Parts: sequence; C-alpha cells; structure tokens
Amino acid sequence: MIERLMLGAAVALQPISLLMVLLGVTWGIIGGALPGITGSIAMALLLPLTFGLEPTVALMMLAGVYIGSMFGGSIPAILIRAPGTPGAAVTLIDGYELHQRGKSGQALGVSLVASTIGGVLSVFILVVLAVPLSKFALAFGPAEYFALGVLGLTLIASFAARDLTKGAISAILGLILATVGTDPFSGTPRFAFGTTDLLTGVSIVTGMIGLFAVSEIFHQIAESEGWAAIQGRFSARLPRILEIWKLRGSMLIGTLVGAIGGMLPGAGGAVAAFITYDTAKRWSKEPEKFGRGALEGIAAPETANNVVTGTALIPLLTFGIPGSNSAAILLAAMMLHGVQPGPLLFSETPQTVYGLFVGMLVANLMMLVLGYLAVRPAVAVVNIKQPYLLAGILGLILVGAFAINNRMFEVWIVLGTGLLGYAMRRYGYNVLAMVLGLVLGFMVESNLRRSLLISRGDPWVFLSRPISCVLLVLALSALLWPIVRQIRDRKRKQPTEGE
Amino acid sequence: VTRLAAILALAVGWALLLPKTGFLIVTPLLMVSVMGTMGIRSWWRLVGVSLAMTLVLYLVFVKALNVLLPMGPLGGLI
Repeated sequence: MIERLMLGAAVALQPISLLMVLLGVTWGIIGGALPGITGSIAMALLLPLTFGLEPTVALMMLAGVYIGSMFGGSIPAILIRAPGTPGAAVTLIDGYELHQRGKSGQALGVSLVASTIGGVLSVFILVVLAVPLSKFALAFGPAEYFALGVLGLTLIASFAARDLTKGAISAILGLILATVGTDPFSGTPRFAFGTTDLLTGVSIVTGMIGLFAVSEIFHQIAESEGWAAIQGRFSARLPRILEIWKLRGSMLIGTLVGAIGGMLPGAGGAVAAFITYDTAKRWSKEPEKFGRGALEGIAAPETANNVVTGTALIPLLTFGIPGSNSAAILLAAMMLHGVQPGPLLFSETPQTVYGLFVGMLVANLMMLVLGYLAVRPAVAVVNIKQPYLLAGILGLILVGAFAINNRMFEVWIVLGTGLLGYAMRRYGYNVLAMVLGLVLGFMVESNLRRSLLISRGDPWVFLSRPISCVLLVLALSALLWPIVRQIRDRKRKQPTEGE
Repeated sequence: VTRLAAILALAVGWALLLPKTGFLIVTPLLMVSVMGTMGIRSWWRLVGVSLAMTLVLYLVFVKALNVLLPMGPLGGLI
C-alpha cells in the first residue's frame, strides 16, 4: 500500500502533473464561481482539451477542477446570493447574511478552510475504502455487475429524481440511447439507419457534454436575465486555528453525510450539503443562529460538498459506477483515455489509481493557496457580461465536440442531446438519470447477455448467486420505497382531512 | 425561448457552413451573431471580442491540440 502510494506520488509530483493540477483547480474555482457553470460542466468543457495528456495526468487535472469548483461555487453564493454550483446552494443562507454585515472575508475564509479540510479527509476515506472494496469487487461476475448496474439506475430514478415515473423514463431513455451502434456480441448494426457515423454509437463523452453542458447553456439563453455584478473588492480572510476548532462539530457532520452521500449514485454534493445543513442545525446548541450568519452554516455544507469529491470516486474506481455528475464526467474521461475502471485497475495500473489519489491530495492543498489568491480574478470573471461568456462557451463546446473525433457528427449529437436535455429539465425529467442510463447501458446489457450465455438462458442465475440476489432486492426496494412512502403519507393525511 | 431558437439556428448554421467555408470565416460570424442576439449593441466590441475568441480557439485547438478543423480559403494565410 505504502509502496503503491509512493509510486502514485512519483507520477503525481512530476512538474507536468503539478502544473496541470494547478490549472485544473484554478479553472475549477473560476468555473465554479460562474453561476450556471457547475463543476461537471467545467469538467466537460475541459475534457476535449485533455486529449494530449497522459491518462493519469488528465484524470488528476479533471479531479482538480471538481475539487476547485466546490469552493468556487461558494464565492457568488456569499457575495451575490447566487450559488455558482448546486453544492453551494445552502452556503448562501448564512454566507450572504455575513456578507451584508461586512464579514465577507471571514465567510469566504471559513468556506475555503472547510472545503480544504473536507477535501483532504475525503482523499483518506477514498484510499481506506476503495482499496478493500476493489478486492471485494474481484468476486463479481457478470451476474453481479448486471445487478449492480440495475441497482445504480433504480437508486437514481427513485432518489435523485423527485418523480419516480419521470426518473425511470429518463433512465430508460439513456439505456435506449446506449443501444445505438454496433451490437457488442453479434456485431450487427443497431439503429444505425444505414449510416457509418452511427455505427460507433453515441459516445458517452459527447452525450454528456450535450446533456450536461449544452442543455445548461440553452437554459441560460432561454430563461436567464443575467446576474448581479459583484461590487467592491474582496479576499478571503483565513480563520484562526481556534476558530476552526470551534467548527469541528459541523465539519464532522459534513464529513459523515458527505461520505455516505458521495457513494450513493445520484446524491452528489448538493443533496449532501442540504442534509448536512439540516443535521448541523438540529445538533447545534444554538440552532437559532443558523440563517442569521452562523459560521457553522457555511462550514458544514462546504465540508460536505468537498467530501463528496473523493467519496463519489469510490464506486467509480471500484465498480465503474459514478456517484455524481462530475464522477460521470471522470468516467467519460477514463474511457476516452482507455482507462477501464474496476478491480483490475488497482492491480494492473496502480500508478493511475494511486497517482489520482496523491494528485487529489495535492489539488486540495493547492486550493487552500489558490482560493486565497483567486477570489479577485474569479469575481472579475463573474462580472463579465453574460453574452460574452455564453458566446465563448458555445464556441468552446462546438469546436470541442468536433475535436473529439475530428468529424462533424459529434457536433450534431451535442446539439441534439443538448436540446433534449433542455426539454427534459424544463418538464421535470432528470438529466443525470439519463446520463447514467447512457453510461451504464453497455455494462448492464453486456453483463446481462454474458450471464445468460453462461447459464444457457436460465434467468435464475441472477437470484441464485447471493451477491447479485441481494443487489437486485435492494434495487426493487429502491423502486418500491417512493410508492410505500406515498401511500403512508396519504394515510396520515386522511384523518386530519376528516376532522 | 425565441432567443434560444435563434441561437440554435446559428449553431446549426455554423455546423452546416463549417466544412465548406472554413473555421476562420464562420466562427467570428457565429460569435458576432450570438452576442448580437444576446443584446450586445456596440459594433466595436462585437467585432473585437469575436476575433479575439476565434483566435484563442484557433490557438488552443488547431495549434496546440492539432485538431483538423476545416480551414477553408483563409487557411493558407496562416
């Protein structure tokens, strides 16, 4: 283990790696600070630019963007009451309150320190949990992988989406999109409509840029009226050790909630931040302070959303199932660079996994320094007028999509999926569920067919193997839970209505 | 929503024209029209920012990443 970490450090501490992580974190902070550009969009925009890099360096850079964006999102949340990323949506409650009292520096400082502490802890949680889990994953055969994929999809359809039906429809749309291309077993073209472009299918990278980034840009073009400019000059004022120690309780809650939230597919930083804020408020000795400029109200969610950056990678690296939007982009990056996630990754290319671990640790430490320096540049970027930004981002997406395969086809897919994603957002469907369907489609399909080939068509393989049976039962309960809850709520309401 | 339809049409137009006219002609046009649609009225800024953005995209993708963007008739000049 120590040996492997040293091996990883050798990769992560090369000058080129350090430079790319530095650029990644900076871009993450600035992208995160822009309202509407979430961490995953910032990563998606950078993705086509990482082609020339070594796979490990590219992954470290993208993880750096992810980490930086979590702090970046709190800058406009505190200064203009507009969260830069969904993960910072609760930070604005107490953050903006502090800003109005002239304590912006203190609020930014606590956010930065809490983010860094959360990020560093999450790397440790990642290393401690991912390595044993990857050994456990070795026991997984096709039946288990199929069941795991089904579990991931049902979890997101029922928890991340508010509406089970719409969540399920979104996930199934993704699965359908994943079937386009060449059949992985027989080699027959499916839904290719006689064209050669569709033979390779809709690549995950392209679909993700369209569904995440383009749909958000379309949303902003159609609805947004722009955001307020940030007046004045600000920088973070770092809290003293004693002040940090006072916040240990809320940061502990943030760590625990973030760790669990990160591992569940679809929960992600925003959900973790909300639950943490609520829990920290309930456990606090002075809950009345929350909402009136409590430093705990910043420390708790900011710790949680950065803990997610590491823990979301646990299911990704061990089983190939992303725990959040941004982890899904990392998965796309891995596929693009020919890195196959799963237990073999840990044994065959340890320098990639452990390099990523060390790289993330470095990224978190860099964020502490960069966050201090980057507040002013980030504010300047936020103050750029929206039309310039949108035009620039549109150009970056169009050219970036072309660059994926040096052909026009990807540009069309990006625009098409972008429009679809925009319509889905507008009518309450879940874009992340669709992306996960697209991502897991190949894994679910090929493992389903492989297990049936092995069992000669007998579907009992999925229930007779213990791990796969447990996973499928969990998946079924994830689907039934919202229905049970609805019935229970209705029963509870009825007596009051009768009175 | 009309604004979205306009910008979508511009993006589609960009994609249709790119293979024939080349990146260096069609991209500044896209930028000018997108920013114009979004409400920027100063001509000086429209042209300046568009050219600057095209230059940045060109340097990053064509020069640094060797992407084979269709260059069109202006390709020979650079």
